[in-house]
This record gives sequence, structure tokens and C-alpha cells, in this order.
Amino acid sequence: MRRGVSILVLAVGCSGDAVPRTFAAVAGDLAPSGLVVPRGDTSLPVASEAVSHVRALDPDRELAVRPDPLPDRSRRWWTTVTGDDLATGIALPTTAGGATVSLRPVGATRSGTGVDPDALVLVDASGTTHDAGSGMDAVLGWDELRAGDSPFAPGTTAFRIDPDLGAGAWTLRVDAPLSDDEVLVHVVEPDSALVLVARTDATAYLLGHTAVLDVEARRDGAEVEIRDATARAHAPDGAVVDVALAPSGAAGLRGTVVLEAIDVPPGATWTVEVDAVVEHDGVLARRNARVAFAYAVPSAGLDGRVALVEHARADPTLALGVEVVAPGRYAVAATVWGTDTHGRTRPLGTVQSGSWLDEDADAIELPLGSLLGTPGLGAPYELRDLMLVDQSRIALLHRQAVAVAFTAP
Amino acid sequence: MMTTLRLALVLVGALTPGLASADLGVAFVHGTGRQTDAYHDYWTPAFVDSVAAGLADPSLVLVANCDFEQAMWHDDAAGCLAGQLLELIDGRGVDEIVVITHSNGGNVVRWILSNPSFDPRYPAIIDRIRWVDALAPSSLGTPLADAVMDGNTFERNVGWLLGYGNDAVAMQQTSSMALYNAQWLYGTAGRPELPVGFWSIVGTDVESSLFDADSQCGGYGRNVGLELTQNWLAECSDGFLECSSQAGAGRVWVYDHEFTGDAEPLSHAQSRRACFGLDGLLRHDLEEAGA
Repeated sequence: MRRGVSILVLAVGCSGDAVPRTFAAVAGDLAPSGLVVPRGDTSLPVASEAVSHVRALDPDRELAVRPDPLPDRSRRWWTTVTGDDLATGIALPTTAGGATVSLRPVGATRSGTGVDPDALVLVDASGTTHDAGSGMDAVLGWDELRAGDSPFAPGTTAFRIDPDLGAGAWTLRVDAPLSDDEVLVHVVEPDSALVLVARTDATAYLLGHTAVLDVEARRDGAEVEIRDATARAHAPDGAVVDVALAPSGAAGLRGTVVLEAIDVPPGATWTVEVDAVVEHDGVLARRNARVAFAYAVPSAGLDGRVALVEHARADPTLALGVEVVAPGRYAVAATVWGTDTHGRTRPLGTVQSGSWLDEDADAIELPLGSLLGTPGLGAPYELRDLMLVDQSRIALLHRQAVAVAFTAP
Repeated sequence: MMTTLRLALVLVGALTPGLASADLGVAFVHGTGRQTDAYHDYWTPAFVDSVAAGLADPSLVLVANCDFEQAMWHDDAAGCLAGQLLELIDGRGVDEIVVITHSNGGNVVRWILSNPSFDPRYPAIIDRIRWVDALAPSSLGTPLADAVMDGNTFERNVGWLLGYGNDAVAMQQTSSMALYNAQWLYGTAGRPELPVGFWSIVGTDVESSLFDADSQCGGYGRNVGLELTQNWLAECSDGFLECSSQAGAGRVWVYDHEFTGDAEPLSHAQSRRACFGLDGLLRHDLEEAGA
């Protein structure tokens, strides 16, 4: 009863010149090589009714062929220390004036007080002590940060090192009793020339895929040597995997992660963290970077069959063959492109269709509405940026830059 | 200049048959947080009532109360909002609505606008939205969320999240928003435009001085905190979001200094309050929409 479509439409109403031409997925596309039943019951409550939606696009809108991964360009680092460490002083290397430092007791509660801002002491490389707020500006305790509507963890205290004092090998000390809880010390240097860049080779992967991680350090835009680096991948099921980094290119590093989590929550992402040490004007500077990418267990896939069909009193519709191994609400979405009088392809509109599919489903229909009648843009048409998503699990299962070419029925 | 463009488009809309509506309503959609009385706690009556005065019937107002500590697709987030919007549309006979969002509320509304096939209620809502006025939307996320999540990535299940740390904060990391924008949301560069206008008002700076009465608007304490958090952000920011993020989806309607008295900036705390003429700008927008 929850089925939205029938495979029968694939064989109905196809005229000879309207048979769509399908394209195979190419490098850069996302496509499963096999289907797997997700473990656990992590799907969202979703509607069962079939819904399709069509709307026109601005034909002059510039649409990306496929998304580029967003690199993390980090000027920040963090470390976890104990209260005893802070009582004796921790190293706080900086590479530019005006570093902003925050301290978060890991076990603090929202009603707690955190680190006393008046107990913060900075000691510079020459041994000169700056205490009781000297050498710092904008010193704020948890009470002030809590009032600021910003998403700080409970107990956070923050300050900025006076920009006039410059950079170097600082020591940070807290002259007040602290609990046994660990304290997360976080430093951001917005004016630093030193940037750690981390990126992956795609924005989305599937179970069994290998993600490639590239890491490089740049100073004023020029690549510089990384003295030491480690990386860890955090799987959406909670597992943590060390990522081995090897030299790559002039001074960069590369690592790979085989993605194997099978029991994942909706909207699952993997996250890879990189810790690096770079020599900078005699200081061993630190940087952390973090990149995230989408991940899915391929519970359904497009099987490559496509037919352009016409129902009585209905708009032209593409029927796309699917294979489903786990029931859920699945949707296909794409942009439809037409050809103008100069032979250039331009976007006509977006189409989406979602419905509940059980394991015996074999097609999902994608009505095209009145898009094919758009003045000035005619055949040949193309279906681009074709996506199959599992709406029950907020998972991207298939994405193809150019998927289907067809003419009007 | 941006204001002129927006007003020109408003006039075009007013002249287009079928767009003008006698039964225009307005919906206020809050940002991150679990609200039960956003009218008083998030927006304040002074702001909501001042803006709603631009309606022909100022009672056609929805102040949404949902759980935006959840990820945007969650039934307690977008699902809750969809239900409340339909109460305004169907339950009170409103023909069209202008949606006013703040911060992460813009992302939740973009989820509905971008995923009509997700929920049978969404297409009907999309058809009734005249446009969205997005106050300081976190469209590209914020480095502040990146910093907050540093070192905490997988401690979420063991209870460090007692306050603002939650799925919505994790969602607003820059890398996470890049993924969502690339896969699930329309309106950013390189992606299809949204089905309705999504007009952002961008806050560009924070001022907090005990000797400046303007710093009291929106709460002095909030502005002090936001001035510090600017250190995590690019030079142009409202203390929580960089200007590029606020301008990252849809189109920029106006930057704060282009309409506020004395070119005052709007901090992230002030862009949901009756500060420096913001309520008047939105009230006039409703008057234009209903004309």
C-alpha cells in the first residue's frame, strides 16, 4: 500500500525517437557498486505519500557541474590539558598578534562558573609575567559568554592576547584551584600567515569507498614543510580510525580512509581531524584542521533503465529503474536542461519525486510538468545532477552530473 | 543600491496580477534553540507587533515555536514549522505569507523550500510563501561553530551538550553547511535558485560600549560577548556570522548600515529586535507586499 510506482510504466508509451539515452556514471559521480541493507533501525519517521514537484529555473542561472569539496583553511588549534598542567603553565605558541584563547572545563555544567578570568596569567618568552588581566583584552568569563547567545560549551572563559604584544612562545597559567576535570584550550589566530589546509577528494562517499585526504601548510600562500602531523577519522558509528599520512607533492601529506561504517544515523558524516606542527619564526606552531563529508550505506540504487512515458491527461514523465534492498522513502531529483536556438544547453527547471519504496519496487517516476514546453528551449533535453536520496535516512545514494538525454515524446 | 533593487522588485510584484493579496500574513521563524514562547523570549512583543502593524490585518501573525536544536530535517524542526505554517495558512484563511527568519531559522525554511518531495505538506506551503526576509541567515555556517566543535566532535553522546551545543550547532559548522548546501539545499552559488525570493539582511559589525546607548539595544551583555566572538570571524561579521555566510543564499536585500539610523551595525543579537529601524524596514515591506 505504500508503494508509489510500478515498473509497468517502463514498457508503456515509448515512441522510437523519444527513447532516452542514458550515460554511465563517470569519475567524480557518486554511484554504488552494490547494495547493502543498513544495520540498525535509524530511519526517521517520514510520510508515505508520493510527492512530485516541478518548477522552472532562470535559464541564465549558472549551475555547478558537481560540488567541489570545501577545504578547511585553519588558523586554529586546540589541546586538552589538566588542571595541574594549567597550574604549572602550558606552552601557548602563537604566530601572530591578537590570538584569541578559550578554556573549557570538559565537565563543566551550564550553571557552573568555569575558569576564573582574574586568575589567568600570561608569561612571555623572556619570562615577563602579565597577570590580572594585563596583556589581555576582551577577557570574558562564562557569565558574560553565556549572555552573548553564542554556542560556547558550559564553563568557557575566553580572552584575546593584546595584539601589541606580538607573537611567540607564550606560557599560560591559571593561578586558581581547578577541578580534576580536563580543560580544552582552544586558540585561533585570525591574523596569522600560517594556514593548515585539509581537503578530501569528494563531498560524498558510500560504504566501501576510499576517501583521500590531502594536507598542506601554507605561509603567506606558499607551501611550507609540516614538521609533524597525525590524523584521525571519526566514523558516524562512533569508531575512530588513525589515518596514516605520507609525503605527497612538494611538502604536502596524503592519507586514505576506507569507509566501512554500516550502522549510521540519519544525515551521517565522517569527520577527519588533522593535528600538525609547523616551524614558524623559531616557534613550533600548532594547527588543527577538520573536514567532513557525507556518507551513506547504499540501500537503493538506480539500475540504468530509463523510459519517457506519457500517461493519459498527465505530463511527460521519466521512469527510472531502481533497486531497493531496504524499505524507505526515496526520492530522485534533477535539473532538466533544454537546448536554445544557438545549440547551447540551459537549465529549464528542477524536478523532484519522492515516495515510499519497498524491496519489490523497480521504478520511480519523475514527472516533468510543463518544462518541455518552455518557449525558446527545446530538444534535445538532458537530465543533469541526477540524485537518488534516501529521505528516511537523509542519505545521498547516487549523484550523476549528466545522466540522461532525451527528446520530447 | 540593494534597497533600491529590492523595492523595484516589490513594485513589479505588486503590479503582477494574482500576487497582491488582501489576506497576507507574516510568520516569524526563530533561530537555533528550543522555543516555547518565542514571541516574548526570542523576538519580543515590541519587535513583532511593530512589524505586524504593516499588515492589513495585524492579527494574521504566526510566531513559530519549534525545536531548532535538532537538525533541520527533524520532525521537531522543519516538521514542526510546516505544521505551524499550515495552521496560519489553512486554519486562519491566509492566502499568502511573508516569512521572516533569523539566523538558523533561514536554513530550516530553506529545507522546506528545497525539498518539496520530502513531505506532502511542503508544496502547499511553498505555493503560499510570497517571499522570505532572512535576518542574518547562517547560510554558509560559521567558524564559531567549527571552533565550538573542535575537540568535541564525538562527545555529543556523553553529555557535554548542556547548553547551546546540539545538532543544530554541529549543522552550522562551515563544512557541514557546505555539504547540506551542495546536496540538500537550494539557493547558494552554483545551485538552483530557491522557488521564492530569499532576501537577506546582513549585519556587518558589533558595537558594545557602556557609554553608547545604542549598545544597549538587544542587550548589552549579548553585544559584549558578540564583540569578543568577532575574533573568530572575518572582519565583516555580526559577532556570530560572517557577512559572506549571511549573504550566501538567495539575494542580499540590504546591509545594515544602508538603512539603520547613523549607519549603526546590527549585531546578531540586534537583528531580531526593534533596533535602529529594522522593525520599520520590515513593516514597510509588509505594507508593500499587501498593497
